[in-house]
Amino acid sequence: MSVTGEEIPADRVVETLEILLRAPPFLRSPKLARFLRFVVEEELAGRGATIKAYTIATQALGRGPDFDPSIDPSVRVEAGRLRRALDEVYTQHAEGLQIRLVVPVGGYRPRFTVLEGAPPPPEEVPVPEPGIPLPPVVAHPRATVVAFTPRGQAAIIALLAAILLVLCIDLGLTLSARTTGAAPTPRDLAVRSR
Amino acid sequence: MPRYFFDIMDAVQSVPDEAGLDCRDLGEAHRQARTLIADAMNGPEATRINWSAWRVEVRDEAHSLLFTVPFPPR
Repeated sequence: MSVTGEEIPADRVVETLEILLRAPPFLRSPKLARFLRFVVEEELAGRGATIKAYTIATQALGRGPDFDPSIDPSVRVEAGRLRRALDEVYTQHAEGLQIRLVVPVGGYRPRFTVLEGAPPPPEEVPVPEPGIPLPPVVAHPRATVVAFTPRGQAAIIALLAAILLVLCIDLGLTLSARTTGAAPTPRDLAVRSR
Repeated sequence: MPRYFFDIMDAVQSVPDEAGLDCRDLGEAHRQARTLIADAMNGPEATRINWSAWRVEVRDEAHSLLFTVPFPPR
C-alpha cells in the first residue's frame, strides 16, 4: 500500500475520502465530489505532479479536450468551492474523520495531516513485552480489550518454546550423567555382595 | 444557518454553485464571496482572463439574488 508524504497509509486516506464524500456538501454537489475523488486518487497513485487544471477539467469535470485553463477559470472556481466545502465538513460534520485533507491555495494537489487526538497508524502501536505485567483493566464506559498483538503472541510462544528446550536438554544431561558415571552396573553389585 | 449560493460569471460564461455554503449572516456571505474571488485569482497557471469582467452573484436558498461582488482588476 502506498504511503502519503507524511507517512499516512493510503488506506487511511481512502477511508477519509469515503467519509468526506458522504458529507452533505459533497452529496449536494456531484461536481465537487468528482473533483475531490480525482485529486486524491491521483495523488495516491503517485501522479500528484500531473494534477493540472486541464486534467481536472477533462477527467473529473466532464469538459472537452478543447478546455483552455488560460481563459476559462472553471477549475480555479471549483477549487475554491472545494476548499470551502472541506472547511464546512471539518467544522460541522467531522465525526469519524482522523485525517485532515486540504487543497492549498495556489495548487490542486491535496495534502494530508493526522488530526490531533486521532490514534496512530496500526504499525506504530507498541507491542507489549513478554513478562511485563499488563496494567489492570480500568472500568470505562466504552469497554477496552487489552490483548497481545500477533507479534506479541509470537514472542511469547517463542519464549515458552525456548524454556521447554532448555528444560529438555537439562533433563537429558542429568539422565546421561547418572547412567554413564555414578550409577552401579549389575557386575558391581555382584562383586559387592560377595 | 441559512445557506447561500455563490454563482461566478462574466458576460458569456457561468460557473454555477451546486453545493452552496452555510453562513451565519450576509456579512459572512460577503466574506466568503471575497475568499472565493481570491482563490480564483491565485490559481497555479498563468491566465489571460480579464478578471474585471467577472463577478460573484450571491443568492439565497430560493436562488433569489441578494447582492453582487465584482472581481477586482488585477
